Amino acid sequence: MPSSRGIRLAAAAVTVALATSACGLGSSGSSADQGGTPSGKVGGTVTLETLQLKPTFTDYMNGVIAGYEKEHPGTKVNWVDIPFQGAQEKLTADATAGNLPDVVNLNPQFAQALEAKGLFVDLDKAAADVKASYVPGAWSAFQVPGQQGSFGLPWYLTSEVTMYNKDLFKKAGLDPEKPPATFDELLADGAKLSAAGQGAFYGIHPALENRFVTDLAKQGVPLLDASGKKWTFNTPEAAAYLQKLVDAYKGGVYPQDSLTQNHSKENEAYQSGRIGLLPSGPNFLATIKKNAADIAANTGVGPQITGASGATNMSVMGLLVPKSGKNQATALDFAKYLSNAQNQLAFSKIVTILPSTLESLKDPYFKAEGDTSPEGTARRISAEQIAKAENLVPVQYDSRVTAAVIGKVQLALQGKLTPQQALDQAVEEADKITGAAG
Amino acid sequence: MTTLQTPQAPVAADPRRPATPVPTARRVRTAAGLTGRYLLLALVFALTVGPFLWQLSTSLKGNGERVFGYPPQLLPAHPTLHHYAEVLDTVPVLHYAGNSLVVALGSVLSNCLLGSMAGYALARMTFRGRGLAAGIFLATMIIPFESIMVSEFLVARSLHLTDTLLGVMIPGAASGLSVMLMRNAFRRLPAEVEEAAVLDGAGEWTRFWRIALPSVRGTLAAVAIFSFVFSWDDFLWPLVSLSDQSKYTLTVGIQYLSGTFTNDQRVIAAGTMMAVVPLLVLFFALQRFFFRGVGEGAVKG
Repeated sequence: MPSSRGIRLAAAAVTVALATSACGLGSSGSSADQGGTPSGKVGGTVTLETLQLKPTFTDYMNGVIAGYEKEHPGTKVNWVDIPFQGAQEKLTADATAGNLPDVVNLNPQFAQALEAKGLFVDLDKAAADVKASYVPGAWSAFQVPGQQGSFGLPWYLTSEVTMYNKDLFKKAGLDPEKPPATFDELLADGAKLSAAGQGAFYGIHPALENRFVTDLAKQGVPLLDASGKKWTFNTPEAAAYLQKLVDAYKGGVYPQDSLTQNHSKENEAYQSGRIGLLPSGPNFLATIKKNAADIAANTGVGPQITGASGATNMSVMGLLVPKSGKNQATALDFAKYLSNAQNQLAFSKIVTILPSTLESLKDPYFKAEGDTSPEGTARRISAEQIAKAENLVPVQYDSRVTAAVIGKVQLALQGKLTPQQALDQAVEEADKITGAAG
Repeated sequence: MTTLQTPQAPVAADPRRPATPVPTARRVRTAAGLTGRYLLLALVFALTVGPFLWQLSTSLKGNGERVFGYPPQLLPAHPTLHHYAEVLDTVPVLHYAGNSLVVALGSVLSNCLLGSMAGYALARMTFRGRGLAAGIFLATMIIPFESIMVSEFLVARSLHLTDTLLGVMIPGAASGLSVMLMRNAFRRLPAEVEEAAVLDGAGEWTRFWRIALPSVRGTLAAVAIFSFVFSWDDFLWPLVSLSDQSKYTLTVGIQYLSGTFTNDQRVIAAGTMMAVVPLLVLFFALQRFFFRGVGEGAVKG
């Protein structure tokens, strides 16, 4: 499945590239006359497109929109919400047709292909007044290597924590109050859990496509050079880490069938009590509670797994203002309002996410004092680590590159390639996709 | 039925052995073969229907029950219809289903009509480039939709058909599959009948409408089911071409059951069950014709 989806996405990407370069619809026409900062008065109608926030956050969003319209009489915000699945395809089609909404909610990976075409307003310039109020690592997530500027206002963030099943920890003779914190501890605890489980349960799931490259970055492996085209993760350190994974797979630390499975299978495995450790976003706690209440009650939360440098990763959502919009001044003003400290604090109180504004992170809510529930712990831990967290994976690591790289890593785990060979070949394939290799 | 009798055929044909009575050993072997066949059938049945049953059972499970338990538990301990109510509360399912139904029925009509007309022309009329035309129809079946999505979107936009249900329907209005199925069905009809009709003074239209079309009802049913299912299940094109949420089709609409931060598998399962019901109804209503249609397509002669 992943590979066929990869191919289909690749096909779509190629078409978009052809369509945009050949007919130049949308991009060239509107970007030429709108080089700099959007100017003009705030007023009139703007359209906001978000990623799958209905129906859970309908009330919150409508509240914010009503608040904005009240503060700025004469403005009207149309809110459109599209499902996450297929969103990238829809946006590329809309971009080609010059049909993008006035404000669009994207993550850096989705945004990058469109950012690279210069479709969005440069917020380093246009929103310089508010830049300092956002978490720096989140702001820089919307930069494109090799290009000037930054294209998104960070909206909401998540920072991975480590969830673990205390029951299984006890069964394996591990201390249920002491989750692993480093990669070596994770593998060691995983091995103990799998040994105790004897096939009934395991320690960890590799979730390669979700984690492998992020984990390399956390251990200080440089992923991409400054040109943004040449991949560099075939270092001896990376090979040494991959060797550890190979040994773990051989030693039965991972479930036999987990090699090709993605993050959602990992989530399912955790919810069925088949694995003991799950590094994932804190928002996942709510899902566990719904689908497996007994496991949720036994879930402990620890900090994100880190390497020697202690670097942590975060996932970023952002608000972008396309240059094709007819009312950019209002669009930008509304995007600032939607992502301001007050509105983001209110947002993070209804769901386990973190605000991207430094001021709201200081709120006592994130200290979660006296709250020992998994959610409270997760909130405290992730808020503590977010200030120094970064979006470690470059936006060029898209679905096509992922498919190419992970394919090689899987071969290494099966013992068909040595770790160094696998990484060398992965870099070669990835270079072909991003255009560094002829 | 015929397959069950074949093992006995060599017995009667073998002159060195009496045709009757059948030796006991042979009867045992036949019984063993029969059991084996049914076991195999049951296995395939479990493989194809298993996931569906799992989904059905998930949709009925109470809130306290584990969804991903291992081994999976098929019978819900606290069965409830609550999740179906929740689906109706969260998403205007009936409204979306109505949109889907409009698109799917439109697609059935157009595929049966246009597909059979094009198929008849390719099968029965002689004109230059007929083989090429058939080849092109065949070729459209292997082009992945993603690679033509953007250009299709641009065409739809220039025709002012984006954000309309008609725009959702048109790209699949006469699919290559329907045309090829109908062409093959018409080709197998004996030409003599139509030649006789020509002598009686029937024109092309009469021959198509009065003689050829009624003889391929089975294939028409197959085309109807296929086009209904494709249209009903289509996700990407409706998502891309529609922006007004009230026009969403069911496959796009039920995406809202799995939120960004919440993921209640039971509610999602209930939603998918509701989406599948119309397909089942249609299939069972047409299955008599459908299997005949599949047969029609299989025999060449």
